[in-house]
Amino acid sequence: MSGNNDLFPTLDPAWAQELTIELRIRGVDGATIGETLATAEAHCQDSGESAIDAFGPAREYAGTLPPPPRGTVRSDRRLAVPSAIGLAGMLLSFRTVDAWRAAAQIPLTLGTVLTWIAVLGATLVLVGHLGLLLRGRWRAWAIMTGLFAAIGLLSVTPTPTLLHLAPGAAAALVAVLLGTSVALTYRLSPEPDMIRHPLGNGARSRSDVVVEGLTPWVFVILTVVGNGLSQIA
Amino acid sequence: MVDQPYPTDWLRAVLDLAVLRILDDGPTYGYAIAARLADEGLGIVKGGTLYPLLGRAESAGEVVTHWEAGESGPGRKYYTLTGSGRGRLVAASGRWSEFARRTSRFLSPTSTPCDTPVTDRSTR
Repeated sequence: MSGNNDLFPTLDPAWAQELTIELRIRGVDGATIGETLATAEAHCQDSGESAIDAFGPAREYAGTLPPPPRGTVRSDRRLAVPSAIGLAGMLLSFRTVDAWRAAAQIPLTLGTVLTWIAVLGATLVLVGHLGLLLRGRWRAWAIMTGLFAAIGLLSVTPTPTLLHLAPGAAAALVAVLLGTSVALTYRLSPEPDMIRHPLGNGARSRSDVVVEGLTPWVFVILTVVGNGLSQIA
Repeated sequence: MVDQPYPTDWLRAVLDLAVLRILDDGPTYGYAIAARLADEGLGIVKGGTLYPLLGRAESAGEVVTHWEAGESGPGRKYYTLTGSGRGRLVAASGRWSEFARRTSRFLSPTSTPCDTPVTDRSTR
């Protein structure tokens, strides 16, 4: 992914990064962020000032800029659902592979179902309130910590078995979950919103294209890699 | 804003009008606006104050912008006053002149009560 250092080489990287994160949290699109950074870079070059001297702390400066117009605020919250489905498919795949090798059935317990619900909740909180987490708001962190504690507790607490899944059925379920995750991610993903210089040619780098192409497949890749590593271990 | 010849609040009150006034002379970019304000003796305006103001003016349709590549320096964002911005400049600068004249007269040691505007003091 093209970094701010490449596009705005004379701007303080830490300041530019913090400003970028703050503007992203506020739903500002990549083109506007690029214009804001380019303006700051030009001003600093003209005035000989550092970004912090000319504009103050990045977070405070971001707060003084006009908010994006209604209807243009970007949000990737809807990707929480395919992410949670993909995560559930990946987690189930680990047990499926173990059961397949042992020629045993997979007990689907109440704890497993509740764990998946907690994972879904954690994903929704993570994606929907990423800004609060990045800003270090204690309530968001407390909720996340509670959800992960619940996941950990559920995974070690004996709970009644609801049904037994045959490895073949479990594998089919894994395929459905991962396939649904990929399809939904493709369907719900907004157009790429890269940060670009206002005087740039707008062309995306090869790495940008590769990252965008792989994003919907991230849980499939993690599933393959995770199971491969567990077999090696 | 630092290094001000006058209290910061004074400049803050008139800064947006001063910026529109500079743009009334023709399209220009942020640092040039700040330099012109300093040259006019209004003080040094930091980028952190100037660009949010310009952004609000752009959102309000008082200025439009375009980018130009620099021959040897950085590319710059140019601001151009619109008809709407010019209209506000004319109207608001007239009111500012009236306010400044009235304030100066009031603060003058030789001012008389009849110079002040009539107000309903019972509501204070």
